[in-house]
Amino acid sequence: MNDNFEKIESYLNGSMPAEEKSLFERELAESDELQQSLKLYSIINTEMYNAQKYSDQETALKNTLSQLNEKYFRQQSAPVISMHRNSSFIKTAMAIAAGLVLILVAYFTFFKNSNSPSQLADLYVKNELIHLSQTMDGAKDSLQQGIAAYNNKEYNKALQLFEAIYTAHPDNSDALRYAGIVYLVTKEYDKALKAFDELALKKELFSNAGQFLKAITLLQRNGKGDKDAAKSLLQNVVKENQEGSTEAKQWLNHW
Amino acid sequence: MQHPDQKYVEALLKNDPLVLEELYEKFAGKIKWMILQNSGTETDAADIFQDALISIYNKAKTGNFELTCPMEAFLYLICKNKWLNVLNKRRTQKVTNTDTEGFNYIGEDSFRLAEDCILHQERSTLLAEKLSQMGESCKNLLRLSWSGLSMDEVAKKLNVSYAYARKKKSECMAKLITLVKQSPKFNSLKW
Repeated sequence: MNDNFEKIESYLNGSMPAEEKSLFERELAESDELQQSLKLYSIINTEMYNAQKYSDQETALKNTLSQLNEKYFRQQSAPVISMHRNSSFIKTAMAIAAGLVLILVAYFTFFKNSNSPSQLADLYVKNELIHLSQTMDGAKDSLQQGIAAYNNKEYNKALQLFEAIYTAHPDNSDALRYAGIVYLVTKEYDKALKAFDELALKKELFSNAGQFLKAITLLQRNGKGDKDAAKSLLQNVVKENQEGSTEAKQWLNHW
Repeated sequence: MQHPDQKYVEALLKNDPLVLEELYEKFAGKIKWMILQNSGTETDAADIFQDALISIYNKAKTGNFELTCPMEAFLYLICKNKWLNVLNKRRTQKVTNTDTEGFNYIGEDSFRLAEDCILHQERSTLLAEKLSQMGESCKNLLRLSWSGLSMDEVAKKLNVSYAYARKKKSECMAKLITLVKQSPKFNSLKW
């Protein structure tokens, strides 16, 4: 019996010598039982190979579905507005909010001008990035769920959502930005830099915080050459009047 | 031509939260209603709905899945069959309201595909269950051999000879196949 299975294994993985193979095929033609064993062996191999290959994806999908289940089956909630496409209202509201944040940060940094750039970046992370703005319009889509998870400090959950959104919608730069921010606050600086690098390359964005966030990450990592690299990024942010240029200008005064 | 609802199958494969949210928004209510009407709870409905989506995903990842009817009808079909199975196991209530009359556009191929999805998932569950009953050495070797490594690489990882690894794999597979065949479910799973 086991001998047959050994033959089946080498037949299926292609390692059976030609002569043995034709003998085995003759045996197969004559035995229903052997045919059934071969079929079953092959199905099990394929199904288990697929199960292992896709096991991480399946876990991620189950995670997404569980969150949706929670929302659509276990909560008696009002119908939600899905944010498939950002409306101009949301964009305007976000721009105003971002402006307010910048003003607050500028005000904050003005009174903190005794700090070094690294300390200022640290304060910025602690004061401005530890909480992300949510639901300008009451929308509760997956991005908002990610933001909610982030604000609850459930960073793994938030990251999974942001990354899943970004993978499926590479034009959703907010998801990329937030994924980078998760990496930044969880001190995975290399991954944060990768995300912000990618963000900075998105030339189509009206307002791009990629370089500014990258500078903050470098100041936080504080490795060899990081401070100089951050300085040159901040100079660029000011020169090109990119998002974060107000803070960048203030911080450069402390160099 | 591809059915426009194939996008939901793609969303499962890509784990696309935005399109999946749309799927929940559109279809979860109907499934919840069907299960609540038939002795189930909201938790039952949530479990059945998620399980149905996972079975579609599992079938679709094999690359052989083309939707030929609307997703709503297809999901309803799978959820209905799954819920009937649960009720049969519980042997408590009679099912009153799960007809698919509203979906008279479901073709025979969709019924077959729905059945395939369910069988595929049940086979996987049985395999995982039987594998977990085996000894550690068999489990390790089989999992390594299904991880995409060649038998030569598996042997190196386990620090054994190639001939031994091959022989051991066939022994373990023989054991697994015997366990699977002994299951009362075996014949109904259409291998």
